[in-house]
Amino acid sequence: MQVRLFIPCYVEHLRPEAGLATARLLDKLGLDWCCPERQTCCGQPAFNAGHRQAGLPAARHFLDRFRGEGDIVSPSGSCTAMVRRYHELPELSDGERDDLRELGAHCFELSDFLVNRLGVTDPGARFPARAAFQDCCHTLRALGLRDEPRRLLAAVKDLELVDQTDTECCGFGGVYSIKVPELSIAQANVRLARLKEDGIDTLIATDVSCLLHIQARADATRQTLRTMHLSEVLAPIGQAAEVMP
Amino acid sequence: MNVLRAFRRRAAIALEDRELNDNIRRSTGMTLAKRRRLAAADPDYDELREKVAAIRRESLERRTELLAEATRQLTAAGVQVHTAATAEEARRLVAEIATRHEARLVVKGKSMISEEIELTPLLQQRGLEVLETDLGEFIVQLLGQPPSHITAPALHLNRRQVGRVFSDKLGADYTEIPEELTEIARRYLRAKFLEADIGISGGNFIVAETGTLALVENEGNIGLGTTLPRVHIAITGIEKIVPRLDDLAPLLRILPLNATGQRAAGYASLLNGPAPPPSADDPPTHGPQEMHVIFLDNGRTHLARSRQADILRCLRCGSCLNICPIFRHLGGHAYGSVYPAAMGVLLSPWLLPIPHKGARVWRGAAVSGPGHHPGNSLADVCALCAACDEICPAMIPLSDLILSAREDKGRTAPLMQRAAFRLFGGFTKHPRLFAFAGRCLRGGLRHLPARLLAALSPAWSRGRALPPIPDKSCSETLKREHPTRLR
Repeated sequence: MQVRLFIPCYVEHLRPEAGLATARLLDKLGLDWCCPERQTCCGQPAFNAGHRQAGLPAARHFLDRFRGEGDIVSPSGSCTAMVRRYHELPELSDGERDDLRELGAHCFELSDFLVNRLGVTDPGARFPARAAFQDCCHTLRALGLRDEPRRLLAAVKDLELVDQTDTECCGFGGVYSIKVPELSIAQANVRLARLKEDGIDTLIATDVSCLLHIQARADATRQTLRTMHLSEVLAPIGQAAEVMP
Repeated sequence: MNVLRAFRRRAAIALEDRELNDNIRRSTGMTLAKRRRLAAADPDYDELREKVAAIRRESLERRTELLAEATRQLTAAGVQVHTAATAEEARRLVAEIATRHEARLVVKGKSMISEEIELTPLLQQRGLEVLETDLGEFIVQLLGQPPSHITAPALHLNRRQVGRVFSDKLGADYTEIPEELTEIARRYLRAKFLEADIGISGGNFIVAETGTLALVENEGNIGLGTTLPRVHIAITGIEKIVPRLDDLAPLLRILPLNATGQRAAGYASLLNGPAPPPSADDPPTHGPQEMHVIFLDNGRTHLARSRQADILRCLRCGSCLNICPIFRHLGGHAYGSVYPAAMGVLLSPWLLPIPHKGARVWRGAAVSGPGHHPGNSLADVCALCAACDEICPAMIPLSDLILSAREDKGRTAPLMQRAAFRLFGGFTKHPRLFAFAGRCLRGGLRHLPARLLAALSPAWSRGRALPPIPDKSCSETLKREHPTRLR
């Protein structure tokens, strides 16, 4: 069955590398995949801002784009968590609610898909770096994925992963980052200080949104930092050609 | 003033105070580490948590019946039971008892509910001496501050600051050794316990079936304050009643574990009424001659019927404060309510205002008069990281409740804001329009002068750089590289 690639809007416009790397990874694993055209936004900004109703058109559009058979994979824990909650939206018909619940059950964040759906824990990547992993709150708590990304990263050759497990939210939080910017930035400062303390200049995560925020703060304070989405580490450019057995 | 703006103003000041930030981060970090070790070492912890959540769910569901039962049992044990619909009523009740007994000195055990009703300033206005006997509360009282945390009132201060407070306010020789600081407070307070006319406490739990008041503490001050004075007044929220005596075992286990990272609290007192009158046959008993329990509603019944009702399951352990990345920067004062962080953001807006001039503490509902106004909630002060959901011993879905508070707020949001989200929603079902808007955004970010962009997005750009923007979108590149894959 064909795997469908779900490209969140901020990946589409701000960080396409995460989507392209995910595509490379699917190729590398020899999977039959496609990417539905005309995707928009999952509606999370409205949902999390307390305007649930305004998320309704996004859910219906997503259903229209992804209806049918096959798993849905996304390089985002946060947007996947949103899709899994679509059935909680108001004013849905019973049919729509069932469809959305079914859809949510087939939508996976990348590490979840690889480890739990395919049983792949080593996609055969090499990434020479000393890096830390950032637990993104939605991946960690809404989806309950703590070990999955770590197992994948542990298998990457030449990657030294420095354990920074007891870190807290980076302070992005969607609308929170602009509604309470001082605190959002203060939280990023804590994260960046921890990286500096351990002399780490590469940070890997399952969500581009958190990384954009942390990178933005690092750039503004001239702290050297390279942020990488998990997919970019698992399928670096140039290592895609060899299809896994 | 808009509550969010007021919060941000106080938060900005707190963020500048590096000593404050460090104190809170260190103190909460130590408690979290102890808590984590204990919870991890206990193979039955998850089961315990489920049990506690079930007890608190039942407490909330049966609240009316439990209040009646508790009242019956307490009365039968000789306790004078009062119910107060508002903070103002509770204040009046305490004041009347104090007047009747011609009290001059009141000793208080740690009680957030007495902070909620702003009891101390009222009694002081009436000429009483009111003394906090919990060490942390004693320190903040000397400073004239409200507590910064619901279980660790002085966590925002380090021992050097405490040493200075004691030497300034009590004339003690400066020391920063914790044992010596404790000794100074003990010497000062011990005499007061013996002189006090009234002891005031909160109530961690009330058992409906037996009319038992359960109090948990570490310093022994509550034990002294509830037995030595001739009158004991316990003030507690109507939500603190639990059905059975057996429920106390799990509750008294999980509370200290989460509040302070302790296997058990130093002391747990189970009080069952005043001392019996002296008789010729029995040896003399100790305890107060008169005991009062005041059940405070103060908006809770209204809250119990709302979508945030589950916050009434709260045990007041303070772990959602300790784990909150926002609280860990600021401490409690920035919230402007005695209840900060997740539990406070949810509870505070429902509490009724105290209609008197010079209310010490800003409170959520004060702006709109009696009842709840969702616009007064600080629900926006949350990144929805859900760390509090994970730690809450009563398994309250705190981040979902905050989301529902945002929805309540959204319904009364300014028209422009609602229209903006509607418009955004509309965009998500028109992929061409959405793609076009995305292209314009990228184009703008790529080509407009950096200064103009920063001026257009001050909330983001003050302190953060804008990201480098790609020329092509992801789907444009996918289409070129994998033309057959797009459909």
